[in-house]
Amino acid sequence: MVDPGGGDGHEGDRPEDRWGRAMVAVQAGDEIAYRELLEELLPFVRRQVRFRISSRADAEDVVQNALISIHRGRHTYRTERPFGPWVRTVVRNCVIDWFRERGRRVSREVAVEEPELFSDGVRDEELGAHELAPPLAAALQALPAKQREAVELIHVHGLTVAEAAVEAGVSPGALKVRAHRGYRALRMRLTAAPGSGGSEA
Amino acid sequence: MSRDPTRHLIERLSTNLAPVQPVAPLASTLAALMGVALLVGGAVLAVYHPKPALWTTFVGDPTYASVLVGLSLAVVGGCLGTLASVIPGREAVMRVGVAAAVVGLLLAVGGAAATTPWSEVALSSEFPGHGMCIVRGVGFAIVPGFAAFYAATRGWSGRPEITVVLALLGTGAVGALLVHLTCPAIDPFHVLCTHTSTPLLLTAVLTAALLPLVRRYAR
Repeated sequence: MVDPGGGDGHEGDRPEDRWGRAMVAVQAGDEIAYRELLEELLPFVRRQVRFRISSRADAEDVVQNALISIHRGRHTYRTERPFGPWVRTVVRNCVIDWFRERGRRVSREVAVEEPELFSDGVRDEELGAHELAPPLAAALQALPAKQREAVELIHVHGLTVAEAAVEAGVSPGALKVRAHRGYRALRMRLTAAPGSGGSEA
Repeated sequence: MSRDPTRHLIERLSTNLAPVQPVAPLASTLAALMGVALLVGGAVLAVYHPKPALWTTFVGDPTYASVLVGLSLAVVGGCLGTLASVIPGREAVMRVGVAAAVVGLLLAVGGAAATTPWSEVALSSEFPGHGMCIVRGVGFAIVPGFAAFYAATRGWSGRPEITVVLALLGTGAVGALLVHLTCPAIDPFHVLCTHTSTPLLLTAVLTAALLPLVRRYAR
């Protein structure tokens, strides 16, 4: 239970009041209060997101973005204001961003034939967990460092966008842009590289 | 790798948590921004001098008065909306700011347009004068504009495009208002094209350029 004030004097409070008080400790840098607050907020945020996004995987991505947004915007909460509208606005904006990005993604996507990366007989299960097929590894190495980092964090190390953003020290949006540019460059290199095209398989 | 990435994220976010300074109250930030605008206004009036017979014109000329009141409303509304837009949970205040800015601009543009003798516009227009007032309006808006964007980047903007548009409208209206207070011309077409157009022009030209900055620093 998050209650930096000791808890006894505030029994029967609404959760949002309790969270608002916890934010004072969070703004002062209290890691334990922050972890407890985020743990308590998690079901609330998930409810808010899943009410609008049916896909569990997509909803969880948005939940993670919302947690990052709460983190980045924690200085904008003022204790004399109610906490509920503050956190709901942050979550709602993340949901809106997701819908917008999905709309853009759908309008941009073009069906392309997947290149046969493993046409040399190397099977997926024969490769190690972080081991890439030689054509893909070479194409990845040729990417600019920031794009390579974004692609590797998401697809080689299996991090979610939100986790990868924290790892790279950028916003989730910026990381997605880098990853998207990386995918585009990879696709161009792989489809252009002789011997790697699907037509040869 | 954690089995639950979201809980893993919570661990990461709460590790090495840096203390943060909460944003200043909205009212005091707005007062500070208005203070900057007043300082710039004082300097502009000291250098360029107020329009001759300002009060008489304000009382006796409905066009002049509607533009003056409209631009003042747009200044307050735009700046209030900008500051509220970067504080989650203050959407109601932001909507008040948006409404005030829109009503103010409509009042200013509508007031000037309604009294413009459109059949004589081609004869009465003097474009060198138009250009100078636009340049001055943009120049007068620079310092309040920087102040507004600085204040905006102290917050967290869920909708940066709204923040940018409101900041440009509000601070553009500061420049337009100062031009309106100092320009001796009373031709409604000149007022329409230059005094009231500055905030709209700034918004149209600079929104795309400033959006990435607010996205980067206010998120």
